[in-house]
Amino acid sequence: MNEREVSEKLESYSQAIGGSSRRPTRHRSKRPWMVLVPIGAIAVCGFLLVSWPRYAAAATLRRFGDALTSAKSFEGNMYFLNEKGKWDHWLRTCHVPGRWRIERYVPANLQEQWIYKDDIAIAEFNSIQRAVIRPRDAEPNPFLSEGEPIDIIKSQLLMAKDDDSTLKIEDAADVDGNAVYKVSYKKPNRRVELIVSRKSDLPITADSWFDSPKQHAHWDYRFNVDFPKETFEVTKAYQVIDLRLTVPAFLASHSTPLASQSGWGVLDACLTDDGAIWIAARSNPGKTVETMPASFVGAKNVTYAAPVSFQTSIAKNDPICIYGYFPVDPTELSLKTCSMTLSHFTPGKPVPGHSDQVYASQVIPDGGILHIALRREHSILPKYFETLGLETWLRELAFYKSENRANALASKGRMAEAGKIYEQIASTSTSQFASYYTWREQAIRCYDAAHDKVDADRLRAELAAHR
Amino acid sequence: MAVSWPWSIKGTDPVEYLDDVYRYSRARLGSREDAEDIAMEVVQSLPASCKRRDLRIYMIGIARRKIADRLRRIRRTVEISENGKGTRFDHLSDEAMQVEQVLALLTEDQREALTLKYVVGMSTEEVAVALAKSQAAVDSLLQRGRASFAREWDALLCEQVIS
Repeated sequence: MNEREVSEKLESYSQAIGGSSRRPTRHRSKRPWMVLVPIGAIAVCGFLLVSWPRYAAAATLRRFGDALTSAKSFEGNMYFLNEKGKWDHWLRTCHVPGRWRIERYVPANLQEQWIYKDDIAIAEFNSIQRAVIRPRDAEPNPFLSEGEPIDIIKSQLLMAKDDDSTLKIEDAADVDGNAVYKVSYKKPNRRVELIVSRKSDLPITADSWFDSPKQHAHWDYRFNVDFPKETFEVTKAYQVIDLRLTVPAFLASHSTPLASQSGWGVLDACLTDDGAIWIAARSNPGKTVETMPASFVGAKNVTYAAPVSFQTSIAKNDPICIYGYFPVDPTELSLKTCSMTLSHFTPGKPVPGHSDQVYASQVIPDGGILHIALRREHSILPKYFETLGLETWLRELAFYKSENRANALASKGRMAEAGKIYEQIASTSTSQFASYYTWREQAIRCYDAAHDKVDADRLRAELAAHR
Repeated sequence: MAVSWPWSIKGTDPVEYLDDVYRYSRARLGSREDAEDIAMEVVQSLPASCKRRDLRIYMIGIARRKIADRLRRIRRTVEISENGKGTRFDHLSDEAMQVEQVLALLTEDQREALTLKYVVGMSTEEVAVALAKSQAAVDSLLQRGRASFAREWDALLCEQVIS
């Protein structure tokens, strides 16, 4: 049986079991609702509809869009209102045609700058004083989207269309002596206000308010800025890792795979001081088959959490993939080998009615277990993390390690331990973000299962305070 | 910047997702009666107009917890019947019963992921939310689940032929 047949069997099963034959009996409230609409409100709405006929809104938005498109450069600073009512500076972005600089200030322990220019992307990581250079079209390159940054800004600022019934364009108080007007509109869960210069039709500020969770983001804009030359240059005296050199060097020094199957080769395998096993692998470039680890066996009688995985590359569709297998409990460090099986699949055609693609797999031939010799790495991370620019992922590593360990513990019924880890993950988020709630809810489920009423009720009270 | 939050202004009747919860419960428990009990409990625990945008995932989450409780009780008290299989009183096709047998042989994670994806019909993103995993983790789980299902299915058919 191949994997397409698996999905077909399961879908047939779904149809075979059908639906429930029982339906609940609802006792609907017969209390009548009376909605009173003040006469004044109707009058105001009518007045507003008359005040700006559609053609005025359309013309204003068109001028606004044209002004954005004609801008030769821009600078934006983004602020976020935190739980304590103070503004945190999150991002600064600077753009001229062909060049882009983004500075990220939050979280405080991951301050970084990204510079895109010519055909390269440069990432400077302040916390580790390192700069990583990669080709601009290699992965991963965050912040990049299709099109020029000015198009991205334009599409974000022009979410309202001229036939949007919530759109309002009205006078506003001068800003720093400049005459301005206000553009505002509503979207589900969101309200937006832009203050726009009457002289240039370019935005000066933008504010977004979100309903649930409550968030307020603010942007300041400047357009047609003359940036100093250094804005798009590397200015910090950090150690530079140029992936255009280090990745080929790594591949050259690992040209003979430790183990391979169907074009997928293990380049390096090591055991680190915390008992984790790291596998670096690569598929033959240009292969259309995608391969992923399926099962993994490390030390005997040791449970490993689902792997954390990252990748680095200097060319599209040719990544070096890194998998980290962490033991759920501390383990001995004399392990010499590990083994794994692989799954290979080719992207299939979309199945009608499903938004995701269905993958068909190739059956792994007999003898499909890869036995891999391990070298000992006397540190917490393999040394190639630095040379391959993988330190970008250190914050995600901590998160995925915790999440995967908690999931593994929960699957083994060690609910109290899992709950503690989920709660620890939850503590990294604030109430303005959905993750504050989802991880706490996960921890509550574990505490309930562990009959730990004290911790479960404590977290419930925390959640209730924010809802 | 904002992350999608589940509350919506317009309410939805949980009955809309009754069958999804039933199918999920049926695949997990293998019993029509138990699955209908679970589905009814879930629906009746919610108001007639629910303002959660992710209501289906939320209801599946409630069902998961109820099923976990029920399975713990069953494991403590079940009497093993002939061949170690539970008694079936409903009329499923042979193939559908085989699917249930194979699903029971998978790991909990794999069974969950496959059930949510193919039996309930969730997208991978919804499965990730329901299982509180990253999408990459769910992709990997589905991949392994499909491979395990295929292996166990082939093994089951071999056993049946041989026996």
